[in-house]
Amino acid sequence: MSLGWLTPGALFIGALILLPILAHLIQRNPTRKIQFGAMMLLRKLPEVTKRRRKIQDWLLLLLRILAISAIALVVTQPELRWLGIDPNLPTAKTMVIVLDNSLSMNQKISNPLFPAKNTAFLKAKEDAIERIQNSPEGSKYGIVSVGEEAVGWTDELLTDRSEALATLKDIQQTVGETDLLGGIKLARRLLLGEGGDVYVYTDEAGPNTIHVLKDEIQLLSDQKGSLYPQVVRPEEPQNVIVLSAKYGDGLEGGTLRYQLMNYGKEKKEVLCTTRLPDGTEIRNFVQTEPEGVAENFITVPRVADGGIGSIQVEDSTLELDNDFYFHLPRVGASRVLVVDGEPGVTTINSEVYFLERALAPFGAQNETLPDVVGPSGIQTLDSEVHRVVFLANVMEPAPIAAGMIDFVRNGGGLMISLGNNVSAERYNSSFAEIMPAKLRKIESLAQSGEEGKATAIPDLSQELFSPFIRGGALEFSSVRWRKIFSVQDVPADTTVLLSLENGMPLLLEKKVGKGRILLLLGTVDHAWGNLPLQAIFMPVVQRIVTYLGGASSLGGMRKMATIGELVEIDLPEGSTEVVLEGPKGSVGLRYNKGKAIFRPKHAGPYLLRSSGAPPIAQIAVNYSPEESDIRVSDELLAVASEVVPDRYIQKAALAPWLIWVVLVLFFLQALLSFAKRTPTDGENNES
Amino acid sequence: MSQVWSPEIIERAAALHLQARQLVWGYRFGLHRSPKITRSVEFAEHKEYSPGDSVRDIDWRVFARTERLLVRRQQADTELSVVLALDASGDMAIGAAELPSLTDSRFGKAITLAATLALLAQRRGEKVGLFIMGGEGQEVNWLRPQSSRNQLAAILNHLAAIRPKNNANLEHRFQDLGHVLPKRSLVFVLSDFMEEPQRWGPSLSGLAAMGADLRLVHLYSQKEFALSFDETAQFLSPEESSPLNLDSTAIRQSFLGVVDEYLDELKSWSAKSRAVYIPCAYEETLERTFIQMLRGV
Repeated sequence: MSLGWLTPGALFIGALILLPILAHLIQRNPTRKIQFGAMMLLRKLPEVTKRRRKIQDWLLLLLRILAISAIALVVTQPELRWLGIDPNLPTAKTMVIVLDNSLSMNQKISNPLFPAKNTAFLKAKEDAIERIQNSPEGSKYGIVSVGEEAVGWTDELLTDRSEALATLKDIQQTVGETDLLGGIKLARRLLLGEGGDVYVYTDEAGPNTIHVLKDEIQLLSDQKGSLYPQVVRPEEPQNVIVLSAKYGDGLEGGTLRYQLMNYGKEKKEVLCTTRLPDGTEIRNFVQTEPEGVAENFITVPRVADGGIGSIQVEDSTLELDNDFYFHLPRVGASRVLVVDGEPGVTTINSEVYFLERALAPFGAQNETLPDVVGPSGIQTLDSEVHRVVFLANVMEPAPIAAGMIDFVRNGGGLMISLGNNVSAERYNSSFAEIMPAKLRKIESLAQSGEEGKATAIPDLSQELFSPFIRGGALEFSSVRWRKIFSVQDVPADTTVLLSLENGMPLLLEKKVGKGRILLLLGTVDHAWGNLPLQAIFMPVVQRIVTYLGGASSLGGMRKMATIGELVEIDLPEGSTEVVLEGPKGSVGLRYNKGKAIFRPKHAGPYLLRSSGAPPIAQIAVNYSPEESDIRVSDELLAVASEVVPDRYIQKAALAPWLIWVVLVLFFLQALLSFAKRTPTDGENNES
Repeated sequence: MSQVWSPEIIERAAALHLQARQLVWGYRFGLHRSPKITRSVEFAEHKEYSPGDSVRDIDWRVFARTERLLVRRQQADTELSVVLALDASGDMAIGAAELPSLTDSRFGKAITLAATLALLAQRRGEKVGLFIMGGEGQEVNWLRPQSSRNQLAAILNHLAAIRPKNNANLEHRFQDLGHVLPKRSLVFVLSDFMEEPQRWGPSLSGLAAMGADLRLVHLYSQKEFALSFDETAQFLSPEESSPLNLDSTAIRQSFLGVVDEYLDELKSWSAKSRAVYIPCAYEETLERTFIQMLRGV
């Protein structure tokens, strides 16, 4: 509600209020003056006598100021203005119902008459049905819903009321975003430019829902249509959702951090249940501040399958968006099998010694303690237990090659380190399918007594080295090599993760099937370099194990998406019979330029797979946070009033009332002046 | 030519002298005999009785012991001085012209009383002095007590010349008086005492501590103390710059309470200073006040 003036220029008359103020400032003292010798005693009187007189003066001044202000206001012809639609406007016989059935309309509301219809959507639908039922005979009806996307439920206006009611009743709650713009556009088109009333049942929720409607409302008005906002929402909207969740892997891995957003105006404590892909449930309470973000984290068990997990927030005010889905890589203590090709006679010549110290420096309590076998013990490899295999200077790879290749294809991680036992020919032939690059020969890089060639600082954007962004990367240059294996050409599908400062490759990576292989062209012991004696040795080895063993147990591309978003996934060459499985069963796909495209309608895990092949992609689909934001940024009526003020702003003239106020003020002033009559005799004391 | 000796002042002094004589004459006529003003009970010495001495002064206790007729001589009989401390502040001449009328103003009545006392003291051969607090027009504020005939003329001329003005500042004036006051003086303070008693009271007590015999003549207006004015008026005073606009009827009751408190305080300080408090309403005649002043009761 606001105040406006038809002739605001007349406000200058308000300056006349200075007159009574001046009059009070220069008003004459009482005409009777008394010479008084006991002034000291008069000043000891309680101030109340003096104050009462002051208040009387101020009252008179106030009355005079108010009277002049009221006169000035009368001249300016003020009018009270407020948002609203004139209830006396004639209703058209053509109406289009625009029903918001987006996610936010699932908000709980109080509906004492029909307790079962306790969501904004159900109440809005009920109100819309009532409006159609009470419409005059011969009315025409159009029905539009705006959840997910605007849908016109009738191709043209219906003349049959019962058909319109049946159509309206078919509309169901969705979990998509609000497309109010599209809805009003459809409604306008249904009216065919012949005018009519458009009743919009909405909760006005969302930061970008309402203010975008200006142009469409203008068009509707130009085509003789009238918009009637019918707002349905709880008095105090409340909603808490999970905004994001991320598993922190790497050296500091092991926790899942997630952010909660409280869109309500009250502090709230919610119970969050985290479900890991393997079914493990972890519950905890999280305190959220009004309209604030709270962060929480949970510790993921040391061994956990990868996949898509969920966090459920127990929030009854808007239940549909309580679940949030996230990706969790296969985590935890990757069991490592070390195949020791040459047990050293001294610790300095033993790869196993260094690897054990690096992976479990304090024993096997909290860290990964590798199983150590000789080449003949490879049969102990258990793909359910071991996720990483270290081949350390194994002389004869042929007997174990087939098992290793299968292990990698099925998602295992293989680390090959070399040494004097290694023969390039044997490795190139035995591991031909999986070797990142063919070995050439052992290169001597330094004379006896020299330090050897330094290692180059790696590219920290590589996932393997990402933990070193915060420091320690310079330490790589301390690692020096006296010998390494040289390789033939590096194939295109092989990545050089680490090299020497002279450019020779040192660590190569290749992905095979669901797993990957790392090839270290040096030794893990002290034979060819000083790697195990450097500070970065332990973090690098631990990181390699996590990297190799941390891939999702299902593999494939991992994507996040929101409902209604267009999701495009690159398909591998030769993919056939690609199937997308969503939380509600199979989902239809479109194909374009080697991409599978779909638009999810439900939140949850989606798995794109090709028959007989590993999964192509996993997609965690969530609700749109914008739709979960139930706060009202703009009001439909206010936006409409900016476009068509005459229709949506009600006015009431105040001048007639002000004239009465002026009269009353003058009357009161006269009464007060009469009561305060001043004496006029001039008798002096003692004179 | 000094203002004190201007013809107007001399004429006014003559009128003052006349009024004082009338007052003294009426007093003597009523009592047949005018005792010394400076009565004191403090013993000074004995002397042999001789005819003419008052029988009341014979020390009968000595006679009982020694069978000798000795007469008691009081110390004041020889040393006591009369000092007239006159308040000449602006408030003392409320509603009056520059030289207030001797009969129709509070200050006129004050100087009449002072002149009368001076005349009486001079006739009795007693030393009399004048101490003026506030005012302007007088040559000096302090005339040291003397018993000469010229002293009377000087006092009368000074009294006639004073124009009441400014504040008396009793607190400091009493301290000043203490510096010049002879030992064992009889001090008449003629004032409206319209200053905070807490401020000047201690100074008054200081005078008493010096041995002064104090008599406080409080000059006031009954009409003022009763606030006998009707309706709203502007109250003003020569001593204050800001007038007060007050409704007399509305404030009368509380004002009477304030007056009572003030008088109680005044009397309290008077008692603390072993002074005699003598109220002198402007509306009443001076004879009664004069008798009270002399008797000290």
